[in-house]
Amino acid sequence: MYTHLHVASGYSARYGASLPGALVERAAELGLDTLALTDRDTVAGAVRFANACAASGIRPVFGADLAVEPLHPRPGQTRRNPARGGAFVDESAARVTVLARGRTGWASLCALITAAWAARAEAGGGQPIVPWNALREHPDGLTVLLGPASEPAHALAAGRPDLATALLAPWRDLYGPHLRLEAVHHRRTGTGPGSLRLAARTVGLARDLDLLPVITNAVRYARPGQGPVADVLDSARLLMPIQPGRTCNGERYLKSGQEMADLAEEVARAAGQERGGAAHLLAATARTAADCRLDPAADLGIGSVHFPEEHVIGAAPGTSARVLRQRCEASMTRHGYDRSATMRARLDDELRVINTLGWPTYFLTVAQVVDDVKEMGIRVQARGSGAGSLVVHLLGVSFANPLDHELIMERFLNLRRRSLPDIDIDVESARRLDVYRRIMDRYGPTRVCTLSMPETYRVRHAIRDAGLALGLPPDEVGNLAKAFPHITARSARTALAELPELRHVAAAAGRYEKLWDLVEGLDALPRGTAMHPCGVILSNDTLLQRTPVVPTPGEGFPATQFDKEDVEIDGLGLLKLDVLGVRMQSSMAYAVREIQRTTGRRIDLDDRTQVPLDDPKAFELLREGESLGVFQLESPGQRDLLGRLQPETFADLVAEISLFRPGPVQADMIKPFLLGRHGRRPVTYPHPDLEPWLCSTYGVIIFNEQVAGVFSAMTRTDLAMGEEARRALAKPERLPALQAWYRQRAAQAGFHPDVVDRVWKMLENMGAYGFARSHGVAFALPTLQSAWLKAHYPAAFYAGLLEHDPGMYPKRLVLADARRRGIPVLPVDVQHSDAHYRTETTADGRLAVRVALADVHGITDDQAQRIAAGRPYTDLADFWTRAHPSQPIAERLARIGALDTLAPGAHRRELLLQIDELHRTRRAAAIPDQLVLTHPGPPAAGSTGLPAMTAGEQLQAELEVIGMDATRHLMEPFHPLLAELGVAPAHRLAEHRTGETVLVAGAKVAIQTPPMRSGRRTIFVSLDDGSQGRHGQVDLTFFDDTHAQAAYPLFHHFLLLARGQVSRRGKSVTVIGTHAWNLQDIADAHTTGGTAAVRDLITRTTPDQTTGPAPHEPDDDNNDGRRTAGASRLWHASPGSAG
Amino acid sequence: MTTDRAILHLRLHHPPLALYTETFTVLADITPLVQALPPDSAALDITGALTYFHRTPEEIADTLATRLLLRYGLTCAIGGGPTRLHAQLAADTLLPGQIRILHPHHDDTDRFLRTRPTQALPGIGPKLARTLARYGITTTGDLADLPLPTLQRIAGTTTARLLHDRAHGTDPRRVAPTGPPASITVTRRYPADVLDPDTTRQGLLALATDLGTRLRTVDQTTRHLELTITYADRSTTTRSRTLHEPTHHTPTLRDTLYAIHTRLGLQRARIRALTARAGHLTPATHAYTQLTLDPTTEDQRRLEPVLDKANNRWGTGTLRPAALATPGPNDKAPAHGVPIR
Repeated sequence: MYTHLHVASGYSARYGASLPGALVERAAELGLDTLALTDRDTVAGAVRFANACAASGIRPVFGADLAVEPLHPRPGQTRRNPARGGAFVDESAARVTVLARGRTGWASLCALITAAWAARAEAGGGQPIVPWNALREHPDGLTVLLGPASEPAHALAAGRPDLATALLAPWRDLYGPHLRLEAVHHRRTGTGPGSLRLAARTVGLARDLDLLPVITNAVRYARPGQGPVADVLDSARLLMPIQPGRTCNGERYLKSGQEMADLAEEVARAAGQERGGAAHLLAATARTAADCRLDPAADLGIGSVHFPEEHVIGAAPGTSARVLRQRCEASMTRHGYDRSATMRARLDDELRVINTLGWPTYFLTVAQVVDDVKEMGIRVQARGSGAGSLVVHLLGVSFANPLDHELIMERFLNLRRRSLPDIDIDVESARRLDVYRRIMDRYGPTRVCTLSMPETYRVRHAIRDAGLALGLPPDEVGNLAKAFPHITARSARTALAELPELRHVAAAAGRYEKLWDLVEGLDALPRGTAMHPCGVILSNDTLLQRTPVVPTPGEGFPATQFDKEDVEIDGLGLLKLDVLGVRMQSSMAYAVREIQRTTGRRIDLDDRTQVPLDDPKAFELLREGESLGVFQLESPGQRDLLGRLQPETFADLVAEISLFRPGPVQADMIKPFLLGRHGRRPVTYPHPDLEPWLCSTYGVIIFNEQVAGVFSAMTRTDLAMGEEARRALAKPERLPALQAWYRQRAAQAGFHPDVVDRVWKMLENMGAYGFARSHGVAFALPTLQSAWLKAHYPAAFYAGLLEHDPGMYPKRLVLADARRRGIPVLPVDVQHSDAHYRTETTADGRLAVRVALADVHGITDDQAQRIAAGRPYTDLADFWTRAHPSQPIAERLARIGALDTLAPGAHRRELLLQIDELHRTRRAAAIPDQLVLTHPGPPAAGSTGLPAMTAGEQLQAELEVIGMDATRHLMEPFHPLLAELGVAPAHRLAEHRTGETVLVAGAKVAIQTPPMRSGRRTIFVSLDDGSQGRHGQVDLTFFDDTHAQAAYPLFHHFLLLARGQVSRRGKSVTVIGTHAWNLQDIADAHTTGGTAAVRDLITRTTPDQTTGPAPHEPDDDNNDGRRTAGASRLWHASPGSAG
Repeated sequence: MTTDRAILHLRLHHPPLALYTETFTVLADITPLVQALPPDSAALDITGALTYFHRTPEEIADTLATRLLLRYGLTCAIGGGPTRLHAQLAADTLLPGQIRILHPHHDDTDRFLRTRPTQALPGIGPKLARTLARYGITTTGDLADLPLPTLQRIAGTTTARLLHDRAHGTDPRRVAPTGPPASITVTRRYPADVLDPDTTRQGLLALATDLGTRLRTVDQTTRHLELTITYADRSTTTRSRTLHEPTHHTPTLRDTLYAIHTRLGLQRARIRALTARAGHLTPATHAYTQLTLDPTTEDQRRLEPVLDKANNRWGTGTLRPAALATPGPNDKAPAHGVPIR
């Protein structure tokens, strides 16, 4: 039986064209019983490969294809720096294939990969090349195949068997009987890699030297015909178009045993070993495969867990369970819980489960991490199902007593669930990396690493890379890629056929027929790796023997090559802790510091006496719908819900956060909940037994905990079983069995068949969705804290929001909200602005927010600090000399009026002129930074005759430089035009009757296309038109029949005019849109040709008013942009959930 | 007074190089004061012609346009005015086939001048235009209104003075009669991106061969070679060399092009076209030649007339460097070239 020993999967980024699953599937089809996976410089695909093999009954062999340091460096030629197009990607390093035999082999393999990537980081880029001293240090358990890409083969190809023999010597010394020569026959001509002659020479040399030759196919894809995809990957890796004559010739697929036997025969004959040569070749290959035995469970550690050793967390060996109990009991006493029998019983229960599962160390580890973070003065909070556990609460990881909030432990961990529970902790986003460093320091680099995250091909990147490969013009490819929304590559053709805004692309799509095949072929292949944003792996000190680590690009943290799913679902023996950076936590911490700086008051947000969970002012604010900037509640939908729900207690907040999720929205639970809450409908339960579970939510199921509870109540089982049933509910394939079990148990329990039916309907409706109450509770705390800050210290709160930008809305909306709520916004001024947002007392005694220097486009931290440190300045020349800004920054500051106070009387353009002159003087100075004694004096006001900036130009400058309209609303210049066209201002929209057709306009602040129950695409857009009052925003809904005309402008333009019908739901007024246009185009038409031109434009771009198709220009992403600079930070876009 | 002249600025619509040269015979029929503005324009001073033909500038422009269309099938745009500046600005606003004459001391003329964007003025490139726009100066009118001292602070003394004059419609430049341009251009385009250095060099060799043949055919020598490389994104790189001596020998041209190309050090640049231009042409009889004692060079030079004769007789490309020989239909290309690992 033949075994492929050299197989690259898609995890060889931009090299392999098939994912491990596809390779295994193909191998099974071919009847192969063993398959190796040898990705380039990585083992990232190993877990998926092992699982796929286990499912198909194939024995896996693990290895990697590694670049190695040359023994015989070829004379390098120094290349000139290219004038254009960049240098070639260097792939000259020799490569060998390394296979692991058993656990030691795997450890050596991990060490080699780690060494290669470390060497790459040291060299500052290039290929990860294994240094020879690493090879010498870790030779155990490895089998090495020297193939066509290895150094000896290079020598053979060049006709130098003598040199090849010499180059083989060190390999023989190191690997002895486990060294193989690898013959590859790809039917290429010449003597290069893949040629018959090189394969024959390799086999010949093996015989001369008494080495074992093996034959492989150096596989890059599963099936014949995938060659073109491999070409695209080559081109993406080498960054140049496919060169005719240098393509992959389609031979590198997974060949059957017979095909390989035929190749072996050809090679043997060419090597002059007609009789028996092929048999030897195949037998040596089979023997090599048989040697490489690695049990995924035992040797890779899949399925078992390695916690940090007890001594690392400060417990004597064997005492962790006792230490955990002591800590919990001490905490019980501290909280005063020890007198409650229920709580004591709950604690005993939980500790028993934890002990039985053997996880006390885990809890102590998490507790220690949280303690460390707190000690650093960083805000930290647990999120997720962990909040349901009393132990987690007692360890100080989560704030809420689970018994107060009806949280169950079983959602988090139970005896029936063997997978590791996960506790996620939220920390301040700005200090996330500090936390990582602290964890690193505490547990040491042998126990801690971060996670990788493969970046896979989606449609835009696939189009770019396939376009490059085909040599299409870069701008054409760029426009093509940009036209697509962020969807999978696989669905490119479907999108072309279905999405109206892609019509113009679809019209020309025929020209690129070949491109779409390649794009679909690239679907879901990894194209690179990034650092996972929050995962931290904690282990005992065998970590580096079980996983290779790669330094992350920016920060240089070691990251395992495995990704989240590898670690989470399959264990791999790695314990993962999610440390998420939450911007809101940073914002709140900033606000608290700002309050202390200005007033000296120290506020502890986690102190319930200072920030009570039922603070009336905070709840009043929320009931008014003033939730912009408040954690989790600021989306238009949530604001609408706030108005209808009228929250009064912390529990209401939990419900509010949990209700606006896909599950409850789909199951239409909001309405009955609200009716029950406002007492407009009597609360009923299918059966009185369910009352304890459903009473807090007026008989409606919202939370996962309730599903588990209802299951356990109906089937008379424990909560753990209920929780397992809930998990099964989310999996369609398990549904029938679940239903049968449920019906049988419920009938046995004596429930009436009607009740059984009704309850099943309720549960089934919940389906996969639903929200854990523990999540809701964990979210509700920062929600309340941020609302509290907004209600009591608005200026500091806004400063925090603007500094860390946590919300979904662009900063300009936060500014508008601040202004509307009576917090003045002060523009950037070098005499007053700090590097960060600051609160400032104005002349009339109000607290105001001062825009930070850091928001000036392109300013470096250094410059901002220097400018802030040098305040105050006497004049422009003084500013220039001491703050030493770069010329573009000084210019931007002048254009937004930040330098106005330096030269009273001179306008911005005059300052600009002076800056240019100062800049010229500085450049002309013989010694850089030499003190200039005579500065040109400030120009007399008005003496230059330069035209002053108009109000419109000033606004434009603000948008370009700081990305927001700090002094006046950006829609203001359009107001006369809107009035002339009869556009309804947002604050007067309520005066229109329902169903009336209106025109609305504004700047796009948010656009969302959430998945809808009907499966149809609906676009939600919010426009901000700058009208007064609290209703400066219009919310529009576009259903899919309008997308043909409206989708393109909605997605691609910033300023919009829309037509639609007024619609009402409760108090809120929205517009059901029918048409949309780019307001900028209309304004331009109006300036050049008056209203006649506007009419003309509307007729042309509205197909149902003429016969012609709408002339969309595909490349006008830049048309709304005169605001190109930073336009993307002006609005929020998400395919996101309804929340 | 210079401003009271009548100038026409004529812009031909996509003239082939050969035709562009020929049009000057038609232009010379109207006035001897014709200045070639390659690649497609010419300036004519028709002050004398007005009285000679008793025609208005409009009529003369009309005659020119008609004659050019009839004789060569070329459409052109003609702008006219009291100075070369006016004529050019007027021509810049026209579509092919249109004529616009600006009359001196006329309100329309002033208004026209004031509303031109600054970049339309000769001497204002994209960079200076951007600088001016930062100061809020976007039209010629804005520029004219700006006090000269301020403009000098922005643009420097000399440039400011020049711009100030131009913005006020003062342009003392005269039409300096010159013949058609003296240069020969050859281009090689590729249907797909070329990255392979061998292919590029092959292209350069072809250009040099072509250029040499054409120079020798018209008995001219060149002192200035310019290589323009066009990339996939339609951007270009241009580099030029001045030769030690005027030449029309292919090996010298080839080596010079190779040298220019090597200096660029291109690696991953996606080349779509190569253009070589030989400038500073002088008749071969005027050229001087440095004697060489190198027999190879001597042989090659002796061989060149023979090659030219053969190519003349049996068609271009009959005799050519072996590197340029393309495989015929019977030659087999290698099935699979060099693999990428």
